[in-house]
Amino acid sequence: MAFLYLLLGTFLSFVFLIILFVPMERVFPAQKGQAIFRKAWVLDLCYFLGQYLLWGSVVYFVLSYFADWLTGIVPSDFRTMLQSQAIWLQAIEAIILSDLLIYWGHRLQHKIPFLWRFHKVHHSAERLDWLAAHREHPLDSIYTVGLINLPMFILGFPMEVLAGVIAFRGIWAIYIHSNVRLPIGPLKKIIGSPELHHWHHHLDKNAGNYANISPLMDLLFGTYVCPDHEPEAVGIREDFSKNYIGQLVEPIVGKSRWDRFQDKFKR
Amino acid sequence: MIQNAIKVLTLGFFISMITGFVMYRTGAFDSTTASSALHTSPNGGELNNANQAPNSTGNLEINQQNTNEIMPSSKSLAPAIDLKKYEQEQKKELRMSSSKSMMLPNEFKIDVEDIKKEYVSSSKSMLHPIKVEPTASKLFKEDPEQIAKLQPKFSPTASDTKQDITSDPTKDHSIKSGEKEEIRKTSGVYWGLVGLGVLGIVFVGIGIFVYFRYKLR
Ligand SMILES: [Zn+2]
Ligand SMILES: [Zn+2]
Repeated sequence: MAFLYLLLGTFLSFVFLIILFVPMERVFPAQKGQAIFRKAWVLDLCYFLGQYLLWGSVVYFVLSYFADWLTGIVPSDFRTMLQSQAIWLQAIEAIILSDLLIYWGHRLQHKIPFLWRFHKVHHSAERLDWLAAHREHPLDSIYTVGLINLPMFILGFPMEVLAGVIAFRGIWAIYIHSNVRLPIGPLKKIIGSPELHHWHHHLDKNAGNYANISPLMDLLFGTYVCPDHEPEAVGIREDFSKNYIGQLVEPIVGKSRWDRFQDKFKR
Repeated sequence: MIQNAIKVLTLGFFISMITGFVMYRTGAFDSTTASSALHTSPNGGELNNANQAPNSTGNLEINQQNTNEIMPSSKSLAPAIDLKKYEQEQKKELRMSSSKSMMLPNEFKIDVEDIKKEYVSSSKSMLHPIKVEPTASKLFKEDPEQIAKLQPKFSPTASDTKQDITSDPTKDHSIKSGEKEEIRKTSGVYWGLVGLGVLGIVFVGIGIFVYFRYKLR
């Protein structure tokens, strides 16, 4: 029964996202010729379903324990001190710390080979749209979701207070991947947009724009990139598995082992 | 002209849908906020675990009880859903779905349910001050009588009882271990904090190193 609820929730989310993003992608396309059922659409659908039906819960489960562990080691005095601040101040602290952590965490994902192994799954998408946003290795999810929530875990901040911010951040993360080009003028320096994040997905692994919800961190640390056109190509230059299982397993076992395994399987 | 109208309408629709969604998540439309406890992945995660509530209820329920008792502040992990009420409704169903290996949190819950069952069923009788597994004791938090029934596996034989009554060392030992635990806890806090600080410094250090070493665009 619980699984049926989950299925229903997944289906409703899927429909909601289609209704939300497909008209935008039709009316304000970044890549005009890109079809809805473009190349690797099924692969990204696998990621979508995998995330909703399986990995989302696993990530949640792992982070729940991580949060408990953290709560156990942060002295209660320190926490009481933090919690004695005004709630709006705590909220601002939590958001800024989250953004700072995720910015640097993301840059490290692009710099440290071990982290890149998992993060490149997300970058392997050669067509960007709202569905491609869901292409992400579960271990990469644990890393990013863990980082973004870390300040809240430490502060013991009641996240329900930030429900609106969290919801907006979630949906906006999908939007910035959508096949939309909608210049927003000077606002683009305050709020993240597809025109910025598409450049992050450029073939150049160090293309910049590591922040997501707001490019302020990129502006601050000099990684803000905003040409007046879309990147010619997105994806990665590396040779990487093209199927769902391969993309999940290869980062864990390494390319050579995965290739050997496939060879054996073929024979 | 028509094209412009379509653009304006589409944009208006998009903005109002997002506003509506955010308002829905903050609980503006009904009494049950479906607000998520976690920020989702900035790469584009789910709609904030909106659909996960049923799935992870088991997990959440346990966490909530654990943390409410020991670490109140991690309450923040529990979504603003009436979990207890939901849990009561779903208990049986969740147990039934245990065969699905996919549903990790449910499985976890089921294990605990099984423990509970085992304890409860195997001995209804003895009241004996034996320490109960922490998780189990928290599960029975609301029903102290159940705790009392948790001796099954340790239900004292005649000799055990004798020992308990006669031998003080048992008592002493329990006190000592309690003290030890306390000591371990206090020192653990500081070591944990030091570890966390070191981790933080390493993290920031690597970040600064990467920044200046590579001077990314
Ligand atoms: Zn990236
Ligand atoms: Zn992305």
